[in-house]
Amino acid sequence: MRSSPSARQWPLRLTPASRSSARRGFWTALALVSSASSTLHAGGYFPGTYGARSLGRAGAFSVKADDLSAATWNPAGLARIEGTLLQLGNRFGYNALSFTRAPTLDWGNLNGGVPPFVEFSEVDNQAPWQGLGPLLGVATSFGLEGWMFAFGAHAPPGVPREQFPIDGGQRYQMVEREVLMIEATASAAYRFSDDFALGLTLVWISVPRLEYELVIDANQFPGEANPVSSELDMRTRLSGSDAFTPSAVLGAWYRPARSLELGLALSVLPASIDADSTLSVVPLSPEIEDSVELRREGVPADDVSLTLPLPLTARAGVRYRHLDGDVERFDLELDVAYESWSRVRRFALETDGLVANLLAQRIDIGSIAVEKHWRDTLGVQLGGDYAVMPEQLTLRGGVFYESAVASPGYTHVDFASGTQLGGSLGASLFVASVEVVLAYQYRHQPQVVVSEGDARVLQETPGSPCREPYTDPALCHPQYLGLGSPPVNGGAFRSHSHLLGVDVMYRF
Amino acid sequence: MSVNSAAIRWTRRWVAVALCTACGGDEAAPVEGAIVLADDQNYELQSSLSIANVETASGADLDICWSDLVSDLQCHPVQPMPDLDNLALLRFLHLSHDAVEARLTSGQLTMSEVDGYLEYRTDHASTCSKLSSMSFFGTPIDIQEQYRESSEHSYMLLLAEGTTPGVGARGMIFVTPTSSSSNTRVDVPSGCGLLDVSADLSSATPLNIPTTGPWTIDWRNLTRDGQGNPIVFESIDSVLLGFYAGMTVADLESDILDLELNATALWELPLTGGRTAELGRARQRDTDAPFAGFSRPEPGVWVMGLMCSTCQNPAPVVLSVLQPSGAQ
Amino acid sequence: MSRRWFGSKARSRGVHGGALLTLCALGCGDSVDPRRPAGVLAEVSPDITTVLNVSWRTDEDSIGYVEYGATEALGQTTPLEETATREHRVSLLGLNADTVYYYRVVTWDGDDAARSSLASARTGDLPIGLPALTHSGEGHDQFTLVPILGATTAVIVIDPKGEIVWYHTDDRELDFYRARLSRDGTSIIYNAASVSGSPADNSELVRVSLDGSSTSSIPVPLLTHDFIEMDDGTLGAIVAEYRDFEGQPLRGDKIVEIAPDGTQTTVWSAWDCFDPAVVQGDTPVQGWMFANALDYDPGEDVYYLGMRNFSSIAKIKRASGECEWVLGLVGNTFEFASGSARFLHQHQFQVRGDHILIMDNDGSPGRESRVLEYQLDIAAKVATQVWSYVADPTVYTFVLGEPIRFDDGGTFINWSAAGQMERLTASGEVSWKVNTSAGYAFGFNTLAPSLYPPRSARP
Repeated sequence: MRSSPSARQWPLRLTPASRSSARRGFWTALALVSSASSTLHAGGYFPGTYGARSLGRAGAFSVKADDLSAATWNPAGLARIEGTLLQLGNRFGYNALSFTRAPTLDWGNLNGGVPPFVEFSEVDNQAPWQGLGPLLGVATSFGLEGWMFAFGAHAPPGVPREQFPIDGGQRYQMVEREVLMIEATASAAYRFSDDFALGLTLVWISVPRLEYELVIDANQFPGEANPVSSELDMRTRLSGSDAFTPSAVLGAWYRPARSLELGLALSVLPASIDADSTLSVVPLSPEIEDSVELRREGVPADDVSLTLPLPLTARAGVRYRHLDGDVERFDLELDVAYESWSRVRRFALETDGLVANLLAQRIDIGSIAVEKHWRDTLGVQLGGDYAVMPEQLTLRGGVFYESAVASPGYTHVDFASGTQLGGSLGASLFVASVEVVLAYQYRHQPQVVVSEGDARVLQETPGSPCREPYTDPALCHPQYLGLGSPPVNGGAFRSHSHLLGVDVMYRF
Repeated sequence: MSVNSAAIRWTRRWVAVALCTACGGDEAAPVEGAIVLADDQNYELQSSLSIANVETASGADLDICWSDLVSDLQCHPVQPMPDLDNLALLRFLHLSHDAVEARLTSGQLTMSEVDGYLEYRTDHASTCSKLSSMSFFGTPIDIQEQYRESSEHSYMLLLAEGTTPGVGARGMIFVTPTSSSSNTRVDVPSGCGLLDVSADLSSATPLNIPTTGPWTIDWRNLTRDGQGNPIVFESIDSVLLGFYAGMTVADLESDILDLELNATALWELPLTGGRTAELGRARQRDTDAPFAGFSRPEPGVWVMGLMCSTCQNPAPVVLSVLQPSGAQ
Repeated sequence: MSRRWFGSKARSRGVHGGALLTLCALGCGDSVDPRRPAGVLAEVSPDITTVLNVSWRTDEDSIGYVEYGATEALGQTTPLEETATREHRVSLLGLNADTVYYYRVVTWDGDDAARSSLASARTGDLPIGLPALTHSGEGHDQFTLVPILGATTAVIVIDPKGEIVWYHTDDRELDFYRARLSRDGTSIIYNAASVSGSPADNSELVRVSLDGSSTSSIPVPLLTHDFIEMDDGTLGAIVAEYRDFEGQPLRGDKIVEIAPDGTQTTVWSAWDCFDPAVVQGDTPVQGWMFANALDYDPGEDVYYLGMRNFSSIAKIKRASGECEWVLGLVGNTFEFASGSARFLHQHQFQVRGDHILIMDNDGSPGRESRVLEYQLDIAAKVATQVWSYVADPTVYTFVLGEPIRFDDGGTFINWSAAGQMERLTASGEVSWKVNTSAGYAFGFNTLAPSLYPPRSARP
C-alpha cells in the first residue's frame, strides 16, 4: 500500500505492511568505494556532497536529512525516516584542474651567466573522469518506536585522483595523487517527539590506497638552486594505506514551528589519517644509471609514515517548509558549515632516519613536509525542493559557497583549495515505492593567481646544505635567502567539476 | 721600417672597394614614404684599363719623366708641369699586370696585394724625377732592395693631381725591373686611351619620382653597383642630381665620365653615411641654391648618381634616370 | 655580494599580503601586470650607430637584462644588471649596422620574473671612411678589437662574421696602434701616438666606453707602439726615451707605468740592460732599439719587450728591471738549435709557458712575413724552432703583426700592414680570414669572446 502523498516526501512514512516487507528486503554489503572523503566535510580534501538528493540541493541537506546520507549530514534526520529504506546510488564526476606556473628565472641553468626567463605551459589533470562514487545502505527501526538505525557505506565527495605530466610546471608540487577512501557508517537516531530528534553516527574511515608523487631536487651543492629543472631531479613516490581511522557525528533536529525546522551536526572527534607507506626515489635523468638505495642504519628500508589531519566540523541549518494543507509543496533550506581545516598545517612524511644513497653520495632524507597552512572554512548552502506533482515528480536546486581552505600562498595542485562556488539541479521521480533521484552539480573554483613572491610552497631539497633560517649566503642561493629553496606554486590555478548523482531508494 | 699611417694610405682613395661589409641576408625595410631604388634602376658599366708597360734595369735608379702626359684618363687636357703634384710607385704582390688592371677597374684590390708604396712630391719646375728621389713617406729606400726583378711583383708608376695618396690619378704606366734590361728611362704616356668605359643607362628602368617633394631616396635595397659588384654603402659620400637639357639618355651613355661637365644644372648633397637622402637638401653647384623641384621649361633628362669621391673609377657607383611624374 | 635586501623584501611579505592575488570570474582575461617593465625603449647611440641603448622602468627595484637578436628568436643576452634600481639603461653591443634587432627586457625584483613584449629597433649606418672588409670561413668565434691605420684612423671591433660592429675615431691627427678591452670590460683603451719620425709629445692613452658615451685620456708623451693593462688597472706602456750618446740625442725606449691614480713611473729603461756603446740596432735612423711590442705576465710579474732594431725580445723583471733573458739577435742569450730559423725586425709575439710565437716580419727570404714558434729551454738557454707558418698566398707586413695561440692549438694571426687576419686550426688549416681593402692596415689586436664584462649571475 502506498504511503499517503503527504508522507511520501518529507519524511517518507511507511505503512506497517511496507515496513514488514522491507525487513525481508535485501541488505547491501559493505562495498568498496573510490573517493576521498570524510564525514561532514565539504572542503579541503572533500569538497562537495554525496547523496543525489543532497547533491541536487547543493548540499543544503543538514536539516531535511531524510535519507541515508543523513548518517553524516545530520544523524538526527534518520529518526524521521519511517519504515525501512534501502538506498543505492552512485556519483559520476568530471574533475578538471589546471595550473600554469608563473614565469621565473632559471637560476640553476645559467646561459652565459644569465638566468633564462622560463615560461611554463598550462598543465591539466590527466585523470578527470570519476566513474565510481557509490553509496549504499539501509535504514530500519527494527520495530522500535521512535528509533531508527542505519548502516551504510559511501564514497565521500571530492576528487579521487589527479595526475599531471612529470615534466610539467607543477612537478615540484605534485605529479600524481590517488586516494581511495571508504566511510562505513553505523547510525542510531531517536525521535523524542514530532519536533525533536537526536542522532549519532560512528564512522570507520579506511584508506586502502594512498599514492602521492612529486619531484624533488636531490642537489647537494651549497648555494645552488634549480627552480626549473635539475640534473638531480628525483621522482619520489609515496604508497600507503590506513586501515582504520575513527570518527563520529552528533546530530540534532528541531521543529519549533510547523513550517520551520532547525538542524545541527557536529563532528567532534579529532582524527588524522596515519598511512603506513613506502617510499621510492627514482632519478629522472636518463643519464643517471645508478638507482637510489634507501637505507636505515645501514639496512635497506623504505617504510615511512604519512599523517593527514582531519578537521572538526560544525554544521547548522534552518529550513522553511511551505505547506499546502499537510502537503509540503516546497522548502527552502539554508545551511552553514564550519570546518577546522587549520588543523592541517602540513602533510608530514616521517622517514625515521631514512638515508638515500646515489652516486656515492648520501642524503639524509629526514622529514619531508608539504606545507599547507590551511585555514578554517565557512560554507553556505541554499537549496530546496519543489513538488511539481506531489508523489510523482519533485524538482530541486541549490547554490553554494565555500571559502578557500588555503591562503593564496599555499594554493596547491593536490587539492582545489580556493573559493568554491556552484549550483545544482535535481529531480526525484516516484514510481510506486521507488524513488529515482537524479542530480547535477557544477562546481567552480575561480582562478587563483599567486605571484612567485607570494608563493610559499617550496621545492623539496632534502640534500641541500642550506638550513634554517636559510640565511647563510655561503650555503644558500642568494636569490632564495630566507626561503631555502625556490617557491614552486606561483602561478594560476583553475578548477571545475561536473557531478552527476543517481540514487535509487526503495521504501517499505 | 717604421710604421707610418700615411704609408698605409695607399690606393684606398682611388680603388673602388668591391665587397660589401654590411650586406645583410634579409631585405631591409625602407624608410616609410621613401622612393626606393632597386637594382633594375641602376645603370651598368663596363670599364677596362690598358696600361702600358716598360722594362727597365733591375735594382737601378731610373729617370722618370712625364712631359708626354698631356691628357688624363678621361681625355681631359693636362699641363704636365703645373698640374701634376705627386709621382707614386706601387708594388703589387702576386698579381700580374692584367690582374692589376682588373682589380683597379673592379675595385677589388685588397691591402694584402699591395706591399709597397713610394712617392715623390713634384717641384713643378721640371717634368722628370729619379726613382732614388722617391721615398716611403719621407723614409728613403734602398733601390736595390725595393725595386728588383721578381716574378711575384708588379710595379706601377702613377702621376696624380694633389698629394693625397690614390686621389686624382692622371696617368699611369707599369714598369718591370728586368735583369736583362739596361733601360733606365721611363716616359709616362698620356692617360687618354688607358680607360675604356661603356655604360648602359638606357636599359635601366627609370625611377618614378613626384614633381613635388619631399623626395627621400632610399637605396638600402640595392645589392650591386654599376659594375655588378656588391655595393659598398659606406663608400657613397654624395648624391649628384643633374639635368641635361636637350640631351637623351644615349647622349649621357656615350660620355658617362663627364656627367658633371655636361650638366645643364647640377645639384650636390654631401653625405656622412646612411642609405637615404632627401633631394630637397641638395644645393646647386654654382649658385648654392637648394633643389626646388623637377619643373624645367626645356625638355631633357634627369639623372641621379650616388658618388664615391675616394674611388679610383670616377664613374658613379649608382646612376639612375629619374622620371618626374605628377603623382605623389 | 649578498642580496639580503631581496631576501628581506620577500620574507617581509605576509602570506595574505599578496597584492597580486586576483580572483577572476569565469573566463577572465589578461590584466595589466605591474611587474612588467614599462617604458621599454631602444635608441641608437648618438655616438656609435651600432650601439642600441635600451631603457626601461620598473615599479620596484629590480635587476634585469635584455634578450635580443637579429630575428624574433633572439638568442643573445646582455649581462644581468648588478644593482637593483627602477630606472634602467643597458647597451646592446656587437650589433651589425643598418640591421633590425628584436629585443625584450627581462626583470627580477627578488621574487617575481617579468618580461616585456617583443620590440624591434634598427641600428644606424657605419660612417663613411671605414674600410670594407672581405671575409671567408666560419672558424673564428671571437670579437677582434683592432685599430685601423691608413685612409682612416680608427679603432674598430670586427665580429666573427667579419663585419664591423663598433668603431671610434677622433680628431687627434695621431695614429692608433693597439686597442685593448679594459679589465672591467666596460671600455676600450687605445694608444694615440706617432711612431714614425719623431714620437708625438701629445700622445695619449685613450679610454672610450663601449656605449660611446664617455671618453677620457691620459697624456703620456712619446708613446710608441704598445701598452698593457694589469689586473689592478695599472697601465704599462712603451715610451720613447732620449739620452745623450756621444754628444747626440739617442732615442731609446722605456717602460712607463700609469697607476689608476694617474701617477706615472718609469719601471725600466733600455739603458738598464743595454749599452749603446756595445750594442747597436740595424736602423739607427729610427732609433736605437725601436721597442715595438709589450706583453706582461702577472704570474711571474715580468714584462716581455720586443725590440725591432735589435731583432730581439727581452724578458724583464718588473721589480728589478733586470733582463732575465734575451732571445733574438742583439743581446741574445740563447743558442738557437740547429735548423732553427731566425727572425728579423719582428713585432708582436706570445709567450705560452716555454713556447713563444713571433711575428717575423723580415726574416724570411723573399718579401714574405711569417710566424715562428720556438720552444725555449730556459735552463740550457736553447731555442728550438718547432713551427712556422707562411700565409698562402704569401703576404708581407713590413710593420706590426701579431700571432695568438689558443688552448685548442689553433692560431690567430694578424698580418697588420697587409690588411689580413687569419684563424688557423690546430693542423694549420685556414678556417677564417678577413682582408681590408687597399689603403687600410690593422694595428695590434685584442680578441674577446664577448663585448660585455663577465659577471656573475649571483650579484
